[in-house]
Amino acid sequence: MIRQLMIAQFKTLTREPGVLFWVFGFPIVIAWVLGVAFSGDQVSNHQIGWVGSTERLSQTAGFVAEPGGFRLSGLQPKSEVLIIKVLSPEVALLQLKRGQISLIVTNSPTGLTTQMDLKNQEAKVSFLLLKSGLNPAPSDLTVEEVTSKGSRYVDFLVPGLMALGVMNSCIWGIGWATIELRMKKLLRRMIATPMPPAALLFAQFANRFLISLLELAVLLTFSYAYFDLTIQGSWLALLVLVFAGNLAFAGIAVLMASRTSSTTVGNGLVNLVTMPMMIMSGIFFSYQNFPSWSWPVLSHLPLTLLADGLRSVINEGAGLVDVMSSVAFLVATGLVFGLAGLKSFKWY
Amino acid sequence: MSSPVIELKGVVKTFGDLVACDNLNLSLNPGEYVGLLGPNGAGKTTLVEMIEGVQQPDKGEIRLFGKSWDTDKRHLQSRIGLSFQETRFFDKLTVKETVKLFCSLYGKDTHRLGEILDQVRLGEKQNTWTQDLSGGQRQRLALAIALLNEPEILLLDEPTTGLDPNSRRDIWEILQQIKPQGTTLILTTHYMEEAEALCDRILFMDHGKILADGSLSNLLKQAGLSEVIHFELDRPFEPSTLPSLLSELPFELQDRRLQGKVLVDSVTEVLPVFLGWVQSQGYELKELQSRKMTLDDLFVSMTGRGLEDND
Repeated sequence: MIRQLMIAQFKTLTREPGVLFWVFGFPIVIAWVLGVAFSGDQVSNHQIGWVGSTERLSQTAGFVAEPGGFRLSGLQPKSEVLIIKVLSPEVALLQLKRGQISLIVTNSPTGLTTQMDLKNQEAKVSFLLLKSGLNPAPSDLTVEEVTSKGSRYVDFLVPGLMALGVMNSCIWGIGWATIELRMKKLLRRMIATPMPPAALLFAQFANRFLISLLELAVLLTFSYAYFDLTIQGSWLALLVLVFAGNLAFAGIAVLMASRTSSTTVGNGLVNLVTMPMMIMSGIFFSYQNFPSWSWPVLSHLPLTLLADGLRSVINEGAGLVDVMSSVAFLVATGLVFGLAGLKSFKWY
Repeated sequence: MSSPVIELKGVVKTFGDLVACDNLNLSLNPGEYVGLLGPNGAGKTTLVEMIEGVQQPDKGEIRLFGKSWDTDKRHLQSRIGLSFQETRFFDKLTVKETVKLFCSLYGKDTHRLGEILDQVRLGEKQNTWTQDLSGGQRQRLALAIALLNEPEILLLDEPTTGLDPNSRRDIWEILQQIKPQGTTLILTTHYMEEAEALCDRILFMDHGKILADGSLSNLLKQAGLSEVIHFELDRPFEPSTLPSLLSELPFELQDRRLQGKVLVDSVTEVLPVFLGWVQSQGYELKELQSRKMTLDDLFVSMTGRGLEDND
């Protein structure tokens, strides 16, 4: 009996090609993508910033000078590489805020001061690598926990989560919801009324925008209360970015939902759209952990544009003008995908 | 004679090799209740959806109130009411909220809301989520939405399929109640009783063609045969031995020719001859039934298959 039940359940699984892909194909794809990011010679690059005299580095065996800084390899484990970027204090701080480097070492007459967020795993690993590279560990190496707003890991994380919220809200609330309407034949019933079809999409979009504003308010309030996170830039820029982000993902959602009436396929489409961006758009860790050839692409993914834009407003004090190119890109993405979706949209 | 509210001329619709509507011509007068009958796959839904403007014909012309879907879409949408097969609504909206939403989509205010809900007898269910409605209640909700804009044409695609006899009768009663308002109704069904109970005019459809068109009594009269004899024998029916009065009749045989059915114009005339033949051939009569002919019998005699059969 158990055997027959198992056989029946196994057959229903294998006869659904979509499910097969998500069970077997998708983990392989993810493994491959993350493998590119974290394996081989590219991937275990740990990037840190160095401010001040570099004499100490050039005198220590193992640190090899290269354009822009130094490289420390031959570490244990062998795949780990520490890249030390020599930067001005201002640039170092900016890169720290953007997650491009995980810590800053300042070489001053009083010694080596490391600024890092002790809650950031990547920073801890980099620090240990540096320490082992400077072997024996210098007695004047001190650690100072970064507490200034905008430079902590939580400052990097929260805007990313906001962007993620906008994406999920649109993909589910417009994309998935439309597929479900079509599946229930409710879409065609609504379209058979004198209502203009555009009204339906507009209502969905307006709803999503309002919901994302609410989400933003909740997340900001929470982050303010718990992490003392405040917005250093312009509120208007923040609103415009969120609007543009909603537009971009609404467009993508319309294209995603333009044909299918099967919720199984719909599920797959949702994953197909959201998963790669969730991993590669630098929500939880900087996309600069991926090979450098992929940066121009990754940095223009809508989720990256939105997350980085929000980070620049919240952490770096950016204003409307500073985020205008991101906004333009997001709006264009929304229009291109949305119009393509409408062109092939199956209303009935 | 008033001008037709619905007019189809040479309408053709194909899906690949399948001809769903084969050069259809049709004209409907105001206030007519028309039953579109046929088995699954006969082309009923395609025909109705073309009239609803949901599908476009490949060839031919469809006019409602003399207007075409190409030029007067919004206008036509506001003057017709419709329900598709098996529409589901927003699971977690109540009946009232759902009707309210559709009122706004039709640009109607909600002062008739209570009246509409009473009309389809959902007054008591108005605060129930649509996911908790029974099949019959859900169909009545679909009917409420079809009626809320006081349509001049009502198009219902299998409004009672899958419902129990009581729920089916509820829907019939609602439709009979609105008849005095002069609404024109097209209703697809594969239930004979439904067409017999509701419709002034019946269209038989099969393989994309309209096979018969007329009132119930007309159709039966046209066939010239009004009664049916059913029989079951102990060994296969042998038509070659039939006497002349019976040999011309349309016998339909089933179950290895043990069972049969024949349409006749007069039972009193045919039955004694038939019984005499049965006796003379030494058959044992296991079952014998005689009754008035129904649309189902007529349909089978025209197409060789029943209305509730699948393709």
